[in-house]
Amino acid sequence: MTKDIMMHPSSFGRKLHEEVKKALLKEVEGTVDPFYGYIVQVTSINDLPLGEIREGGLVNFHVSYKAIIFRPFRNEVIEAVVSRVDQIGIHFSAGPLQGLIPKSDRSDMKYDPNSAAYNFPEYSLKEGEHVRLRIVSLTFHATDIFSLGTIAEDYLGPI
Amino acid sequence: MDLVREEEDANKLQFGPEFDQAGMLSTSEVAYLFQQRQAKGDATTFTPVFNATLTYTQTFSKLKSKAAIQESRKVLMDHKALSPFERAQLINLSPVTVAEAKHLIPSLGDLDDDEDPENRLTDLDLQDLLDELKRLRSYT
Repeated sequence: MTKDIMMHPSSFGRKLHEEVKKALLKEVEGTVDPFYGYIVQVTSINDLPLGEIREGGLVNFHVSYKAIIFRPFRNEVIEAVVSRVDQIGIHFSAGPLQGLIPKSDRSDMKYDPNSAAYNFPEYSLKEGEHVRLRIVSLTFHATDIFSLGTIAEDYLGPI
Repeated sequence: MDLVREEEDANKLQFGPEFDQAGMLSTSEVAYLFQQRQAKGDATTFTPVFNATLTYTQTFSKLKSKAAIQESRKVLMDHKALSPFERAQLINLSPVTVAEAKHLIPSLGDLDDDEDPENRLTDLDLQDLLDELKRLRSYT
């Protein structure tokens, strides 16, 4: 993956590589890339190319790096935690990914506000439990990804 | 607000050109990597995204030791017909039967009758593989 990092000359010196690495981590870790998803942790940085001087004396480095990313895909089956249930459906989270299994997902799911659970013929689901779902759609925002999921299939549902 | 590209489909192993050469790690392997980096004292920026991912990998990791991970990786890599995504999913979802595996990872269904033996994974082969992975999940 690559990123353009602008550095001020005051950070030049023997520790330039360190300073660029720090700036890169600060800029990309924890953010969402439209292709790569969540950039969770930068693991290595390639040798720095020559910097290009820009207006105002700042220098731009086009940095190549490797990172651990969290990138869910459409139709992927994932394991998730039920974060809450309400009349809209079953809300889940899988690490930084948030999502919803809407009430309309299955005709046999019924919300019971008294026990704060969704009841199905063979099981129920409530907050804190684990669920296996298939990702139906993903929406990428600047700082998070949201997913709609389904459990209307064999082998999906509570784990 | 960006919608994911229409062509993206894990069931058909279509992930976009960015992932053609990408390695795909299982949740268990990422859990192990995070542990290693922490033990080495590698500076980690504890962003909310990192913390959420760390907790997630610890919760859902299926392989409890370096040996279990290495052996699982080896047996999965020995099956050349599999793609990186399928290998990671076989660890992540730990299916026990061929039916379960093919429901959860539909692209596996394309492998059982491939003409090219390098690209073929019969139901028998797949069941053997699932049994082996199950055995490795109990390695400590």
